[in-house]
Amino acid sequence: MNDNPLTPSNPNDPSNPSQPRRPRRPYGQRPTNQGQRHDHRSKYGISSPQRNQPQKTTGQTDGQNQRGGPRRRIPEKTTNSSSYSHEHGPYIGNRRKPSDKRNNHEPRSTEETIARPPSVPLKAVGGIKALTENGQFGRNWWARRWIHAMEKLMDGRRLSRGQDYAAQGQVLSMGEIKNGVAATVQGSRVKPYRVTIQVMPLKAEEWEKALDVLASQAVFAAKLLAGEMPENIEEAFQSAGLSLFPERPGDLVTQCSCPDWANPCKHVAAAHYILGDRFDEDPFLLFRMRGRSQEQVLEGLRLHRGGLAEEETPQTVEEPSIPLVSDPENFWEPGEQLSGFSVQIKMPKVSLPILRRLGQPEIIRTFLIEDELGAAYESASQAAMFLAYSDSSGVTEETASGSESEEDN
Amino acid sequence: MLILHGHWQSPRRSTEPGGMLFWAENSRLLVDAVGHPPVLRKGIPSAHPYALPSRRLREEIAAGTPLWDSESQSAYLALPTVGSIPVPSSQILVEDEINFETTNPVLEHWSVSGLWLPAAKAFGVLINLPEDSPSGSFRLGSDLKFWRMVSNLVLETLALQKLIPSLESADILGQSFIARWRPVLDGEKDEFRLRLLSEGMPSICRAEPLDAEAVIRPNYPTARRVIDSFVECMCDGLMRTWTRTKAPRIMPGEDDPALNWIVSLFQEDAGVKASSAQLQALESGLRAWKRSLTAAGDSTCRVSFKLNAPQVEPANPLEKAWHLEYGLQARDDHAIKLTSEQIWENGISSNPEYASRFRQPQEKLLTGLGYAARLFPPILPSLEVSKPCGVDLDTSEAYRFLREASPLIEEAGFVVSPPEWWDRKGARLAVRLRLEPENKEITPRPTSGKMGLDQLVRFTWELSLGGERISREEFERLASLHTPLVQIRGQWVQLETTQLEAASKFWSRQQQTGSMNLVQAALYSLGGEEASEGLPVDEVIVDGWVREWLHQLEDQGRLIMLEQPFELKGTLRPYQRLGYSWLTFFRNYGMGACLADDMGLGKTIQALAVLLKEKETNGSLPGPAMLICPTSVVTNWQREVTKFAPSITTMVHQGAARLRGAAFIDAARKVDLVLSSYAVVRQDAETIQSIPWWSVILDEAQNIKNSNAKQTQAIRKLQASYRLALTGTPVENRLSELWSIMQFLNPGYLGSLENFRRYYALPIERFGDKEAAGRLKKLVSPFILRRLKSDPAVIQDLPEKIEVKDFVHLTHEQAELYKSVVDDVMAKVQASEGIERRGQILSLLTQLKQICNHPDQWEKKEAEAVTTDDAFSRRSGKMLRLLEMLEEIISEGDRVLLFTQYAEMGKILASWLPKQLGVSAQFLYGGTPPEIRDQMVKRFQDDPHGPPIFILSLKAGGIGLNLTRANQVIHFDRWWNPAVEDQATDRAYRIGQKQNVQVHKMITVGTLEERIDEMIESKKGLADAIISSGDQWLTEMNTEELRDLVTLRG
Repeated sequence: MNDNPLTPSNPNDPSNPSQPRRPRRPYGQRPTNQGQRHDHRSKYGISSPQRNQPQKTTGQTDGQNQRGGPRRRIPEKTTNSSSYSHEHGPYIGNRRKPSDKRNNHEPRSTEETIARPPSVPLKAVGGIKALTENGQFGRNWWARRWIHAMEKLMDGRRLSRGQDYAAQGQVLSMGEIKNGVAATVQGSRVKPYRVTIQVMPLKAEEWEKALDVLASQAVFAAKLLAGEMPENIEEAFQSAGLSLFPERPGDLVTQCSCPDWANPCKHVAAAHYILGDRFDEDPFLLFRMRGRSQEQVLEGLRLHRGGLAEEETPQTVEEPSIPLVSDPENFWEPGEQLSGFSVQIKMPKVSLPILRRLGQPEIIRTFLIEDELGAAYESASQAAMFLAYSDSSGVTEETASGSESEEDN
Repeated sequence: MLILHGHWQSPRRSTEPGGMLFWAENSRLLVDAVGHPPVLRKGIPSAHPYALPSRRLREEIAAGTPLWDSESQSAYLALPTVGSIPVPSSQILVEDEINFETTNPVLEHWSVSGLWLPAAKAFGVLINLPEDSPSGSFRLGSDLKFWRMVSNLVLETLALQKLIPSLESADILGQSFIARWRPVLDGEKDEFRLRLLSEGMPSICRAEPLDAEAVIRPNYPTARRVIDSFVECMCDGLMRTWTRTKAPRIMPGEDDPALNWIVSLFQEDAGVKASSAQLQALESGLRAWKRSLTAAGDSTCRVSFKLNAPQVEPANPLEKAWHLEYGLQARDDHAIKLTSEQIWENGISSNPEYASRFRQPQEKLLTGLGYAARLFPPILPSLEVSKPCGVDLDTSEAYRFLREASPLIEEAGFVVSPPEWWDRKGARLAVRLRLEPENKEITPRPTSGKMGLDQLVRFTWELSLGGERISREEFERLASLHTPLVQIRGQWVQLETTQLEAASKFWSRQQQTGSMNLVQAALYSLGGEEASEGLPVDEVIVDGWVREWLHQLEDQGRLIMLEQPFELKGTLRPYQRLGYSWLTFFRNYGMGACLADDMGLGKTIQALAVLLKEKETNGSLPGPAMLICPTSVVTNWQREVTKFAPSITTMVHQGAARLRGAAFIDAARKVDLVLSSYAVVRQDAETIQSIPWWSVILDEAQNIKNSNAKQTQAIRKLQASYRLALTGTPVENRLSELWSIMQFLNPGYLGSLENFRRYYALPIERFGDKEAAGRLKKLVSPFILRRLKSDPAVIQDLPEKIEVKDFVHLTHEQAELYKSVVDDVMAKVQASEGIERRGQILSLLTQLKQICNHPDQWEKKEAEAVTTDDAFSRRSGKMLRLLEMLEEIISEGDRVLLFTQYAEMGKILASWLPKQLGVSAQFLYGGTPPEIRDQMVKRFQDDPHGPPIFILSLKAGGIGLNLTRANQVIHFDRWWNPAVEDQATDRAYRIGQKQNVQVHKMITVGTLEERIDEMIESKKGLADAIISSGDQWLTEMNTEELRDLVTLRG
């Protein structure tokens, strides 16, 4: 595969419009700090050492594959990507992925290891792709734990076909239903298959037991509220004799409208992988699938801590619509309060404060958001400083001499 | 006159950028509209009758700005309306003779047309608009000024990079999505500032009905909604505009939805190219991502961390002796707090004060702890219990929390309360400065006058910690501890690596003792230098007379009050004696000072007293003094010197026949005081600079406000041991002026102009930075003495009525004209007799008085024919002086009656002054209809926004009216009869007047006006009866008497 972005293209190739942008350094040489992306990186004080290393992976996995996952695409795509890499080579080569740290994996090539299955799905446009990291599905332990629950139930071939589907974006949509999700998956037929995945809810008394254990340590509620699945939540459930993740046969109820006799089929598997990603965004999803909403869980935790049931919380009142005054003075004049208004226009103490607070979005696996937006933040910041402190009000010599030309008598 | 407005229009759809409609009210069109009131249509809003059509607006203000290429648009705005005309936004628009009734206004919808620009382009226009147009042709409306304030908030947000990229659905179904930059206004003061803006927003900004069709009971957006829309749209628009070149490159057909989203943040079209399922997934992922933005709390409260230090330093640094306490704090009132115990006890629900601020307090606290634990993992173990209240830390953990974690935690919106000593004076390594007399034996006596410019002070730098000086050995011992937090004498102190390094350099590099001059000493003492070589200056210790000097500098109450000089004619009022003592104090220590008393408080006499004192003490002045003032007041000064300090010999250096070169130098050395003008000093700079002056005094020092001007530079180069500036304008509010004057008085004290603008002027003037204003005030206030007429201490010293004569000069043009008219008409007078002769004489007198006022009054006769531009102002000495006086009067917030005997002159003044001064003026004369006359009086007396200048013709306005709101009266031209002038003055100076009244009589030197004044003063040969008969007696004069009266002298 000749997708290497650094492979020199034919300079005489008239179809190569971007010849001037071709990298000036020979293949394999350490990139210099000429590229703009490189520049701002050092400015932000990002200290991670491997970021300044030449990226070995670029020789093995091309830029496009990195962004789309480790899978090769259909042949036309590959051709495209060749001209693409000539055009954007230096930039794409430098686009960092969150997973660059672990680049010693051989990229998985499913085509080599797995025989092509009999049915070929229709190419899906605009589907949801699973987030993978060097071919691994499930970035967090809970996502992997979720996947594991299904993997126990399926044969290897269907599973890997399901993985292909998930990575290629065959899952067209997904929405929540009671105790689970419903998805549409593009298979080999024109009409997408309808898949549902549901989990058996816990019984009320089981929930009470689970909440009792969870309430005994604030860390569970704290992490859940901060958007994180607590590490030892499974142990907590276990100590109550329960399981949060589907464990027993019958915990997981799946359906698909495809003709495959097997259940779970590859479509269910694909949807299952996509669902695994959703836990990153909302750790309470699993609780809902087990029959309790976020509010119910939090309220339950509060009661088990010995707290009070939530009272009617006053809704945040919208600012009342004040009628306009007709008295001209109040109509046109600003209020005196404004004299207390002031601003301090300055650069932030730490660059990119908002991105620093939030970190990399879990949902984005193909590039580092700091890389793509850092330069924009920085240059807007400088533009604002310039506008604020450039001195347009200063009187110039020219205008000043006008007032001096006072007649001398 | 135009009043320029900016109306923010929120986008109707999320895909639109939003924009601003620039429109203007026009005074001419207003006059027309009042003359021919429009007939209102029912139902549909009519066109605003005096909004400038967009085509003309483009011609008048848009050239060279993005407005030139803007589109014409209109909006429906609700405006207060009386009859069928909207009430003008500013009194400046209301010209005289317009009877504009403003009672019982009602809101009507008007269709207002103007020029529309999308957000980012509108922002550029908004920020760059000059406060006043250079030609005086337009002013900014209150709405534009308001949006300029909000624009500063936008700039701050962008500079601080407080923006988040977001993905938002652009329709209800969530099928299409747009990429947006959103401001994150969650800083400590942001909610408070947004509330200030909402409450202070002029109603005009929300006057566009939400539903244009709803004529009956229309709905207007809330202030907050309009402001939010403005800030959001501006942030998004500016990010797109400013960062276009920073867009990531992607190939066409890129199918990564996240990358497509990123790219859409940089494009004009915010729509994101990807399927709705992909974008819904991305959106839900990004929503999860953004969640921790609110981990610290909500709009009413925040999670707080308080670190408590142990009383006694633990013997073992690994002992967990520090305690980090968790809690919640209200945003609007920091005193309202909940401890974690209270939170777990559920004790708040009964108290509405608390319940409304702390909703779901347990979940709030837990969310905050869950997030903060990522930034500071030692929190985690504390969460293993059911109800965590805090965590115990060892010393190194505590330090890590303070130094490393707390900035991150605070940045994320939490409240962090470190121990009170953290990063405070005393707890850090710092330097302090000891200032002592160079020679302790000699105590300079402030009155001896022997201290020179380079009076030096001995300084010693010391390293200090915990409020005590530390020796090198102690320092070495502390540095070897390698502990960031230690106790010294029971006090916790920080020993941080960076500070230890700076301190090591201190020992090796800092010049630890030496001498500095008093200006530098003042700078350190008043906090102008906050750090030295990376270490904060904690303290300045003063000793000996230096302490005495500093105390007197900082507090005028400690000054030694001096007796007034012997030779001074007249008696100094108490506050003038203080001013004179104050000036002498500065003179004694060789520093420059600025006397900035209100107009009319007698700055001249205080300055002259200092000169007399010097002369008395030394027998003579150490060298000649130079007084520089505007051309228009040179004569005035000369007269004041003669009157109050006749023992001071003077020389006027002015006019074409003035001495040059060596002749000037010789002459100057022989007198005490040389009087000259700014213009002449600029022209003769070289000669004047070659003289070692004892003193240079600037009158109306605002004349050097432009520090780049040649005139200012020439003056700054003058050598003098004592510099003094006099000004009546509030310099402390005009910062570039302040810098320039201080640079003259004490060069270098306020640093370079560039730094001064960067750190003081711009933050204070543009962004309302209170902290910078406070620092600057501390720095400069010892050098400026400003008393106001309204000060209780001053008011009791002042007589109720002060009469001042203001002597002005003719310009060259006026003088030539004056002479030729005298020659011409005198010939006719000689050649005629009887009635004709009388006619000629009366005509002559009138013509000469007109010329004294302004050549155009004589030449054009009709006020309408006169163009009152800047060139116009420069052609009359009297007009120029009037302008200077009015500027001062207005800047003091006073109101003034301006009398003239000529209706034409009144008209000219009424159109000229508002343009020059930016305030409104009204003119009352014989032709004013009675009902308008009443209205003018009412407006002047009662309307808080009424015009501060009331021009009256002497005949029509001189009697009957009660105008006690004025405390200043100017007689622009003289009347033969002082009783008539007094009567006019009494419009203001009468029962009901609560202030002192200042009366100014303008007299043109060398002309008929001065001669009349002399006659009135001496009353020689003039019986009151004759005078009161007006001009008539003059016509009886013989030719010689007449020639003596009118010939131009001097």
